[in-house]
Amino acid sequence: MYIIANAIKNIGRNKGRNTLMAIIVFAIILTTAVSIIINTTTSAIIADYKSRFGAEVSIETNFEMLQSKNVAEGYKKLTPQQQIDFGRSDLLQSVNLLATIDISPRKLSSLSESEMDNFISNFLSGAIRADGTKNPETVPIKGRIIAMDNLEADRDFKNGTRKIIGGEMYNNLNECIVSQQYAELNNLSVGDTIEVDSYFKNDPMTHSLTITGIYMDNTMLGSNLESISSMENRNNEILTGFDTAISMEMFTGEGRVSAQYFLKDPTLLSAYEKELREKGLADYYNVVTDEAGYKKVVGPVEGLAKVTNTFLIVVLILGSMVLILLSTLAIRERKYEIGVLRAMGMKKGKVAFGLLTEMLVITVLCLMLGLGVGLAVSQPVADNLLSNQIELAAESNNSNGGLSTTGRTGIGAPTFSSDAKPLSELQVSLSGDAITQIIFISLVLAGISSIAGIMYITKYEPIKILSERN
Amino acid sequence: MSLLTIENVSYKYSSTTKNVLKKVSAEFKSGKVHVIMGKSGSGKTTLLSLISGLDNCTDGAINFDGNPLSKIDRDKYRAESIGVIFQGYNLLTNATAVENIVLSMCISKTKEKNKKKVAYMLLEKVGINKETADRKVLKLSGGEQQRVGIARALSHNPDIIIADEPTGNLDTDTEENILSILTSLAHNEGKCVIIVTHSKKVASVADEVWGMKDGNLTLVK
Ligand SMILES: Nc1ncnc2c1ncn2[C@@H]1O[C@H](COP(=O)(O)OP(=O)(O)OP(=O)(O)O)[C@@H](O)[C@H]1O
Ligand SMILES: [Mg+2]
Repeated sequence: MYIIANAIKNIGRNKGRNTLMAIIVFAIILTTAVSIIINTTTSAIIADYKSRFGAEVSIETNFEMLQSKNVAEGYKKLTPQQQIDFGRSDLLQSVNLLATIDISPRKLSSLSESEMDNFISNFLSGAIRADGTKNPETVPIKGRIIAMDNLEADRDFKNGTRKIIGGEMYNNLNECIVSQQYAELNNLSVGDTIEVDSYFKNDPMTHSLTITGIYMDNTMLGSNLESISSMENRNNEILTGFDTAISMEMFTGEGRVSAQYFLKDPTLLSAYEKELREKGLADYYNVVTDEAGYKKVVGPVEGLAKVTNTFLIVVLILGSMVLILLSTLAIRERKYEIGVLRAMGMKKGKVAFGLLTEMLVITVLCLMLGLGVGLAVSQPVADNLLSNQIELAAESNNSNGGLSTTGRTGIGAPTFSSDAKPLSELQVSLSGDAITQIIFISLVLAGISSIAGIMYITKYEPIKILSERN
Repeated sequence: MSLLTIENVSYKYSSTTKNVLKKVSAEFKSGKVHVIMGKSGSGKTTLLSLISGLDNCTDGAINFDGNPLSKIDRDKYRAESIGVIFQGYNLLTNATAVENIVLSMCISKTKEKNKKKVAYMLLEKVGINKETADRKVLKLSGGEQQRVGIARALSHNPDIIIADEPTGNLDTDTEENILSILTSLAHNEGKCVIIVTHSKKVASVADEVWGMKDGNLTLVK
C-alpha cells in the first residue's frame, strides 16, 4: 500500500527529527527491556521459591502473657494431636511432622549402654512428685523411635550422613529401618521382626516392627562414643513412618511431635492464624512466619525487583513526557505536511495511519535493537543490582544481631533441613511474557509519539492548515 | 451545462468578523478558460479554496455536477475531480518533485501502472527534466516549484483545474508554455479551467473574465 511506502520514505526524508525520536524511543525501550527482563526473571524466581518452600510458620509461646498468673496456671503445651490437626489446612504448602518416642526395648541391646543410662532413670523412677503422687517406675531409656511423615525433610538422608545400605526404606505400617551398628549388635537383618517397649517398668506396651532396611549411620562420626549414654547415641534410632509411630500405644503417653508448617504464601499468615484459633489454639501462643528466613532468601531478589520496577515507572513517565513534548514540537513541521496531504485529498484516517506507520517502523527498529542490547546488558545489570541488594540485606541482618527464629513447634527436633541461603544468582532470560510486555510498551510509545499529530489531523480542516502557514 | 455553479456564497474566516466573500454567484463550464482578476486581498484565493473543497461556505452553495460540495465526499472530490495549483505551491518539500506527483496519483487512485514514468513525462511537459525531477522540492527554485505544482494538478486527469497565480514566478517563455497547456486542456480535452491572475496576458487567453472586488464577483467579459 502506498501509504506504508510513503511513510517509510518519509522517515528518511525527515532524518533529523526521526533520529532524535529514534534515540529517545531506543533509550526508553532499552531501559524498559532491561527492567522487564529482570523483573519477569525475579518474579519467576520468587514464585518458584514460594511454591517450593512456602513460608515457614512458627507457633511460639508468648512469654509476656505467661507472666500473668492466670494465664500461667491455665498454660497447656501443644498436644501431638493439636500439632497434627494444625497441619491439616488448605493454606499450607507442606507440613513436616516428626514424632519421637523414647523407648527401652527389653529384648534388644543398645549401643553405648552404660551406667549413665541407669543414673537418669533411677533419678526419675518412682520419685514423689510435688503433689504427692508417685512417678511410675521406669527402666533406662535405651533408644528412640524417630518417625517422619515427609522423608524429603530428613536432612540426614538428604545430605548423605545416613543412607540405606540394605533392603529398602519403610513404606507400610509397622515397618522400620535400623542402623548398621544396631543391626550388627543385635544380629538383625532385613525381614526380621523386633519388639520395642516403653521405658515403664510395669507397662512395656510392646509393639512389633518389621525391619525393611538397614541404614548406614555416620551421624555419630567424630563423637566420643565412650562418654555418651545410649539415649544420646543416634545409632540406636529406629526409624519408622509417622503413622506407625502415632498408632503405637506408647505414643499416647510419651510421644512428642515436632512440626514444621509451610504456608503457600507468607500473606496467608493471618488467615492461617484464624484457622488455628478456631481449632482451639490458646491466646498465649503467637503465630508468626519465619519472615526473617524468607526475607533472607527472597529479600534481595524482591529488592531487586522493586528497584527495577521503580526505575521502569520513572523511565516510562519521563520518557513519555519527552516523547509528547518532542512530537508536539515536531507538529509545527508536520502541520504543513499534513495540510498538503489533506489538500491533495488524502483522507484523515489515511494521513493518521501514515503517521502511525512511520512511528511504528521507527519503534520496531528500536524495539529489535533495544531487545538485543537489553538482553545483553540485563545480566550484568542484574548481577550488579542483586549483589548490592545482598550486601544491603546482610548489613540490616547484622544490625538485628543475627537473631533468627526457627519455625518449629515442639521440642527436640534436630533433623529438619531448612538452612536457606539468599538467592545470590539470577539467570536472566527473555521469557515470552517479557517480550509481550516490551512489545506492548513499545506500541504504547509509538501511540504516544503519534498522538499530537493524530489529534491535529482530526481537529483541523485543510484550509486552516494551509492558510495558517501562508 | 455548467460543471460548477456558485450560488450566493458568503465566507468568513473564523478568526475574523467581516465576510471575505459576499453573496458570490458564478458559473464555470467545461471546455472553457475562466480568469478571475482582482486586487490583492479581495478574496480570490479564498474563493478557490472553497471551490477546491478545502472548506465549507459560511452561506450559499457550490455545486459540482449538480451536487452541493457540502453533501459530497470532499476528500474524494479533491483527490479525483479537481486539480489545484496553489499560490503557495503546497508541495511536500522534503520529497522529490517526482515523488510529489506519484503520491498525488496514488491518492487519486489513478489506474496508471507505471506512475513514475507518467510523472516524469508530466514534469517534462512543464519544462522540468529528469535530473530536476529527482531533486527535493526544497532545492528547487520558486518557478520550478510552481511547475511541479502544475504537473501535480494535472497528474490525476481532473475535470476541473484551478490555478492561483500559476505564472507569477515564471519567465515569459515558460509562462506561454504553461498557458498553452492550460488552454489546450480546456479547448481540446474539455476541462473546466479557472485561473486567478494579475496578468493581462493571461487574461487575454481567457474565454471568460471575472472581476473580484471586496468579496464581490462580477462577470467582466
Ligand atoms: N486564514 C485566514 N484567516 C483570516 N483571514 C484571512 C485568512 N486568509 C486570508 N484572510 C483574509 O481574507 C481576505 C482575502 O484573502 P485572499 O487570500 O482570498 O486574497 P487574494 O485575493 O487571494 O489576495 P492575493 O491576490 O494577494 O493572493 C484578506 O483580507 C486576507 O487578509
Ligand atoms: Mg491569493
